[in-house]
Amino acid sequence: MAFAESSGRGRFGARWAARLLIGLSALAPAACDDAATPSEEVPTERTWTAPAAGPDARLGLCMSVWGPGPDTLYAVGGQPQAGAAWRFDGTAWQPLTLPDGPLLNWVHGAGDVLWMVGDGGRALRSRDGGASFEAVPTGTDQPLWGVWAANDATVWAVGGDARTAPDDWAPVLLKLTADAFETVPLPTLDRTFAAIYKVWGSGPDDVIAVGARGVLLHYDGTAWAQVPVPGGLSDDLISVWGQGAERVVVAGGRNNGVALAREAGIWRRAAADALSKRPGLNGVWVAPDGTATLVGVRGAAIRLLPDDTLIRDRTDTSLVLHAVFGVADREVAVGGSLDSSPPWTGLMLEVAR
Amino acid sequence: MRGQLRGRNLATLFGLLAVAVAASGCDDEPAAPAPQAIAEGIFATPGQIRPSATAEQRATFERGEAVAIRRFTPSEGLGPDFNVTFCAACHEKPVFGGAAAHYRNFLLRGQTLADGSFLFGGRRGGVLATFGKDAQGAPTRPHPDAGDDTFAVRNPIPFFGVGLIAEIDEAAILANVDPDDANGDGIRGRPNYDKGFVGRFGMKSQTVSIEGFIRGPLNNHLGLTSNPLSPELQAALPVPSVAEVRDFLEAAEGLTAQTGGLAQARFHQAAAPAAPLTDDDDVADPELAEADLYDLVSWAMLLGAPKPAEPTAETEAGRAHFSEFGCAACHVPALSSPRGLIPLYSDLLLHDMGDANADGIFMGLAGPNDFRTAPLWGIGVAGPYLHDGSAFTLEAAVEAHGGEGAASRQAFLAASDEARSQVVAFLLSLGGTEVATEGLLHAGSPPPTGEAGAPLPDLDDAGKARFEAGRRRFDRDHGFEEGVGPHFNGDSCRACHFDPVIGGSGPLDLNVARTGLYNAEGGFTAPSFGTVLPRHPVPGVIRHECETDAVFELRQSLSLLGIGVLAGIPDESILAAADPTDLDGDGIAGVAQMLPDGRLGRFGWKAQVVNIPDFVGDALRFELGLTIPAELGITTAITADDDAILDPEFPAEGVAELTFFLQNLAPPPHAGTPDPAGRAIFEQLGCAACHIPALPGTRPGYEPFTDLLLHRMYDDTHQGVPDGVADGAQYRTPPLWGIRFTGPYLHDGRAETLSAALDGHGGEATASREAWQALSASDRERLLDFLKAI
Repeated sequence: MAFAESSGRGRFGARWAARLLIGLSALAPAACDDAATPSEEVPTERTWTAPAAGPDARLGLCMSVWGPGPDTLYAVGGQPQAGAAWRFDGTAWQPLTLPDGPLLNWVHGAGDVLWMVGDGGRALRSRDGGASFEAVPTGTDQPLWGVWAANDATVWAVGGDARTAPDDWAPVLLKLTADAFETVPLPTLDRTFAAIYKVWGSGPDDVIAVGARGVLLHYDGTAWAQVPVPGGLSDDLISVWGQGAERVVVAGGRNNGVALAREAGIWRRAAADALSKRPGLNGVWVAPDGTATLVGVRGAAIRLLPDDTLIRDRTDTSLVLHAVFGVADREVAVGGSLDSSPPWTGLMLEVAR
Repeated sequence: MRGQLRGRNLATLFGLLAVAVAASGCDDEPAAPAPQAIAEGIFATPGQIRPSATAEQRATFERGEAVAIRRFTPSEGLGPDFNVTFCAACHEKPVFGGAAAHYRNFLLRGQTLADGSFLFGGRRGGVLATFGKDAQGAPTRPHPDAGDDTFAVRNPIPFFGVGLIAEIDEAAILANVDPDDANGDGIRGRPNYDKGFVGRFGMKSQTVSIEGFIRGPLNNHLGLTSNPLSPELQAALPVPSVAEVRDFLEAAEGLTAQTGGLAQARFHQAAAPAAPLTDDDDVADPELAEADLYDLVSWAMLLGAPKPAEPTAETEAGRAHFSEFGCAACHVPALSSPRGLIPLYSDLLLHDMGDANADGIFMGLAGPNDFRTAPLWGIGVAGPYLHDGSAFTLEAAVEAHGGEGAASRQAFLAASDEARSQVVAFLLSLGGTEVATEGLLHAGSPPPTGEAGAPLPDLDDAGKARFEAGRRRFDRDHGFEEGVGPHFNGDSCRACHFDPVIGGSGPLDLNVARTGLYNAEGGFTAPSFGTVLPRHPVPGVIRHECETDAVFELRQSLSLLGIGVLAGIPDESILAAADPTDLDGDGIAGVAQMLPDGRLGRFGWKAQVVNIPDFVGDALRFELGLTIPAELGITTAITADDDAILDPEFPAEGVAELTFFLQNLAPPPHAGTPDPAGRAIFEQLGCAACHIPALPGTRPGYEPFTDLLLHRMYDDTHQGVPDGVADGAQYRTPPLWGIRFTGPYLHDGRAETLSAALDGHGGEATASREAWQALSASDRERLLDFLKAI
């Protein structure tokens, strides 16, 4: 059964809800125009399934997935004190040999260079497709949540620790300079916050970073500045991705979903009403047609169309999905038992595009 | 119980439901099927388990209640920031599982930015704690964040029937949604959401899972960390809570036949797990064992719904008015669940309650004006009312309704006195009144005899009656409209003196804070409001905070058992024991607290209070913010304050009753026969130099073990708040009778055990402490046993 809703009037479980409403009509003065309106035609639903040869879930969480093409993908994660990484070679996911270190949170690359960042201010670089890694100094012991590389020289990493007391909040914004990351001062903000969670750009002069308490930042090649969110927002913004500069989507929220979209340089809340009824979102990837795949807690996987129509996918899991990435023929979502105590169990799902 | 609501009561319930349906105005409704019946086996006396529970669940329920009333200590993970030391502190009235009076209010705080963003302050859901630790680990009052500009008072809500609310069909809640007021009744119910599910718990329906609603407050109010329950334990909870099916909608349809319709509830409760909680104290996380969390969640889930009273002509008339006034549009009489109808009198939706009730807080889809419709079952015993407890009576609560509730309020106000009275009678009939109380004392609970909390033995019958009246006065909670505030620590005398009985001491979470500033020369300046730093403001008033660099001192609520016997000790006996310059060279320099008016003080940690009337006046002033009649001449009291309540706020008769009660509150009895060998050790160590068993003139048969004098108890670095002749390092010797009841120990509760208290002695008691520490293990035990017996 397809399940879709527009950003205006939600269709909350139309068939089932209608049946119950009939049964319960004696209970209260129900609204007459409830959620039973037939929806417009929507694309066929998708069902996410585990890949035949996925990473060993026992190695821990899968926090992030990225790759340059369908036959070369990387995933990172692990356990709190033991980061792990995997490479997909077109056939199966194989573990990579890493220097000892804590959990890895994000992976990205550009050209021949692969970047991974994680807890304890950890940053790893590989120039040989993951066969070997070097640790790159970051000057911080804060967890690093995101990394984005425009090219060999332009690399941003972000982080911070929301578990600390507000007086100790120290959001981290780093830029690669030669062989080390250097701290970049934050712009003037209208709020304090704990962490920057992700960074992504359409190019070196169009970089977006998102963080706790609704912080949205933009770098124009010269300076960072806070971007106001229309109507204000205090939910954590956790991930950002785009399709060139034309469509950028931000996902977030902890308990309930939040998304922002940038089109033609203008930011707006996307499907605000409908997403507020959905679980919190952690990951986003944007397809060439502008459709954003959003993933989040309780196995949430939702497609956000450019017109703000939502299509809910099936994932067959209640675990947390933390990130999603797409290649030509499929999308891959990763996560695990992130909302439980370690040792964590990882999760990878994929769906054909 | 079975079929209790059958007949007239059930018929009238559905009569009301029929009215509600008729009001919906839908012209294409299908014919309604036969209505569901009220769920069976759900009602119980408040605080009791619902009758349908299994034997295993009953055992779990008992264990869970034990966890709820267990006092947590810092060594068990309490803190570093906390408001209370046990769960039932906020859920004690009229019985465990219920709500609480104003003294358990708490503050939410945050910052509203120019763009409309609302940021909760701190990192614990915006809760502003009352007790905390500074960077050096010393006690302090946690400050709001620098930008916090929004403060909202919250009063606890009862847990009765929450397991039944958890099972209510999500569609039954959504059936009442009408955000655009399509039916034109002025009511615009909207759901809130939590992890994709319709919220149903919390003042703003911000939470869906009971496990989540318990783990959060445990962390926010006790500083206790926990891990989510394992899937196995979630599966065993009384309300099914397993996340086992892949798709909410499909699963709900597919499983309905197999589970009797509980599939949906599974998902609601399965939304509970969040990340494991951690904190930065020295106790390993998680601080609450998983088994204890399971029992606690189970206890809450199994609490029965308040049992409605049999209808009377008055309550039936009130029920009709309730419907006629439109109250039932939000306070929907019942919602559907797999068990049957759950008569909670709430739609669990958000409604605009008007600007006057706005709290500035955003939670999910709820804005400052939006509040969940409060369930009305058991409402008669759930006061004070509204989110901030600002309404002390049901009438005041109705009259405070605004926004979507304004029309109903107007109808109520325009009704005859009789009709209003009938509405209140109807509300009271919705359960729980069999345990109604003005404080925590229930009807038919006379003072004990021969035990802690008993009157002195020589009271005649008239005296016993007066003692009982005073005890009830001592226990009675007071409302803001009676004058409590604008700043206060308690709303009753019992609020700080209930351990282990009415008139006893108070736990760590009721410590009184004192503050002030020392200058470089050692001079002390009290804040403009005095040295007492109250825990609470009334709604709309900003809490007093401790100034930067000010000294902050906690003082435990002292037991009042035997205070009348202490009052009877002649001044001369106390003064005779004083030795301010240690003329006898024993290292003990007892100082008498001589007040400027020449009277001798003897009560309080600084012996700053002279007698019982002064003690009553002082407490009414500093702890409750109540004024008393000027003609009483009690100089420690206030006779006027700057709130809007007519002075005096507390009657002379009340002062007299309290005074009589305290005057005649017997000392705690011995626990068995104190071991003479232990007593010998006590004396050998020099403890009796300050803890004099009985000063001359003490009422025969009693040994308070105090000299009622001031002594230096700590090393030279200790700096507390001075009072009168007592400098910041001097404290009155506390009586030791009944010390087994009054832990934790020392003036600020820093010692969790008697042994730690002895180890914590310094200053003039250094020699005694060293002697204690040099004792053999067996002698230490003998001494501790002696102390526990006296």
